[in-house]
Amino acid sequence: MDIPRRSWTRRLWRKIPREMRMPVGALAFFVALVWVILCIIGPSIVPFDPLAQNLQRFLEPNSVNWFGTDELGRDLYSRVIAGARITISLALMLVVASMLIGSIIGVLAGFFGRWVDEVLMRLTDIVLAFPTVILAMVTAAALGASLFNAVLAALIVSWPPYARVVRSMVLSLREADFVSSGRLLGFSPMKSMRLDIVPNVAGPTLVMASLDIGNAALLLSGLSFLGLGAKPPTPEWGSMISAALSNFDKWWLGLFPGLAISTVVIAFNFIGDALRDAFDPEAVRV
Amino acid sequence: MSLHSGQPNTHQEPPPSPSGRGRRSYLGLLRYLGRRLILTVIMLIGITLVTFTLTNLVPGDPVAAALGQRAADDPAIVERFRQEFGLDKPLPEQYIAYLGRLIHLDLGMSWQTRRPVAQDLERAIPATMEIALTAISMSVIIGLLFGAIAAHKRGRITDQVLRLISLLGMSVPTFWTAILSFYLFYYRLGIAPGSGRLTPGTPAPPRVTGMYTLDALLAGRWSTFVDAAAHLALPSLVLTLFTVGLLTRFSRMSFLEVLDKDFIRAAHAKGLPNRTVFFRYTLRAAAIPILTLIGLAFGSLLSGTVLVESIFSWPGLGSYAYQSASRLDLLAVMGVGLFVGVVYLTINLVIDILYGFIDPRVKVG
Repeated sequence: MDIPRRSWTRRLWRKIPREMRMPVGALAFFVALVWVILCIIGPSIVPFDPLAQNLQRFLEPNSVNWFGTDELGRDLYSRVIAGARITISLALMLVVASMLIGSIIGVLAGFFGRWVDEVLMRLTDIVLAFPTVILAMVTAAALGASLFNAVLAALIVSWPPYARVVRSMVLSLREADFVSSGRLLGFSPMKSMRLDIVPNVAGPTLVMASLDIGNAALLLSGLSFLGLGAKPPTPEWGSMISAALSNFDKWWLGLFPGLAISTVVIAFNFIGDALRDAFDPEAVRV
Repeated sequence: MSLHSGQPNTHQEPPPSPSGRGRRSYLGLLRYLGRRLILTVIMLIGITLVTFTLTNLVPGDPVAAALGQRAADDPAIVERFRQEFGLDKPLPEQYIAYLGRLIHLDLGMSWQTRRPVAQDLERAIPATMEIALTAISMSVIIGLLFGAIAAHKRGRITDQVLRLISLLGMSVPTFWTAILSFYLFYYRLGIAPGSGRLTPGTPAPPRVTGMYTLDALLAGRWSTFVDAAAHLALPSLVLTLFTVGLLTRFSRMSFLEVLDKDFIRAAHAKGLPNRTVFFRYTLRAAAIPILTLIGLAFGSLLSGTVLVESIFSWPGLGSYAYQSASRLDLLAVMGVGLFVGVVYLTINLVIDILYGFIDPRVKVG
């Protein structure tokens, strides 16, 4: 994508610090940073093998097993840390993929209009009208439970908002003078899209995507919670909580993975929020 | 994209614009309704088509899922099963047959429960509605209150705290809060009753609406009402947490937009008391986006019940959808999808029409 990098990154730098100067914002940024680092190096710094079973089942949190042990005697702390890689990387993948698919559909619908628009938007409406979790559930169940299929299922339900928003931006751009002058200069549709449309749509879409990371993590862990994502030995947060459901008197089993998901989602949501404030969508939207 | 179908899509197409055709005519409204109705039917057919395609074009084998692997290995059983549910016919024919039956409101048989899907839904819908209606009413009251307070205290500490609360509500996974609250209030403190809709042994009240609290009141059974309400409290509170966050954030935004307007300043300058300004001017001016949001929130609540219901063993739509989806019970899933689709589209339609009553400048037609 041909994005005029300087303009929006500079705007970002100028405006972010003010948001981040607030203690809560700084904290959120710090938490997100820690999780991303854990996502990269987590599995190599955990004290125990997250899959190693042990006879000491259901140990309460103590000085050796910081978060206690689970029903198979596995170290919960190691599992929670190892889970960061799975949840965060998959959530990022999902967001990028749904942003790309949604944007392509939105640009096509908005740019070509007429029947292309009609067909693509009705499709979008149908997916939007379908309850997200149920559609994702059906897809995941039909494809068979695996993490990759859960991402696919989540992808099917998460592109439409992008298509909607990008389309509406393209619609207003299409009437802008610089786009019409490009048309008058004899730009081909491809060239016009590449030069005039995509660069102007990219910024707000990226902001929208950053707001979506937390939700993506929630959806994926929810599918795993229902048993439609990660398979048992995998240290995935949602499936760890689901395992805690059958031993809910052992509070630590559910508490720590849940805290992990919550902090990740809160941190990313907060950052996305700050990004959106910084961008003031009205100013960006031409 | 979250588990509640997430951030509501606030970028919905704008409400029908002023048509410039002069005064609102009921003929115009009728024509508009007709067009929307046709669109709705097309969308619903689309929903069934999406489900049908998804469940058929993917590797999972519904027969194996419904019968279990052992039975699926026996060709005779599989053959009988396929015949019973019309699976031996080509796919397009199956689909057309489904649509044909749909005209008579026949949703087909569930493979799993061996009952008509419509009958299953009739049982599940009131249970879910009971949770969803309770949760949405609580959320609207709390959310709008929080939103209004945050908007009035913009930038101050109250605003920051409310922003944090609403972010927390939207970020914490519902299935986790559900388990935590169950552990705390049921297991540890013993103030909440266990899962399900009533304490085992308590007879269900005679069915009128299917919502136990309402039916118990109608039948005058006070103790049943208390029991049902106690069972209802935890699941609906858990759902409320999420929706309150959503409503607080977005109603704050809409209130802020209005508070900047000149007519609000003028009203204050006139010396009108704050309460009057809020109810007469601010609330009315901010009503349209808020109404849209409430509609979307309700739709997302319906699908958000899936996780909560499965934790509290609440025999509602969500549990039913989950069980049928994991068994690839095609017709049951299509039934649930259709129902939620109808609700979602109806809410949208009602809201679009309400726009015209709230704001006479908006004309449908």
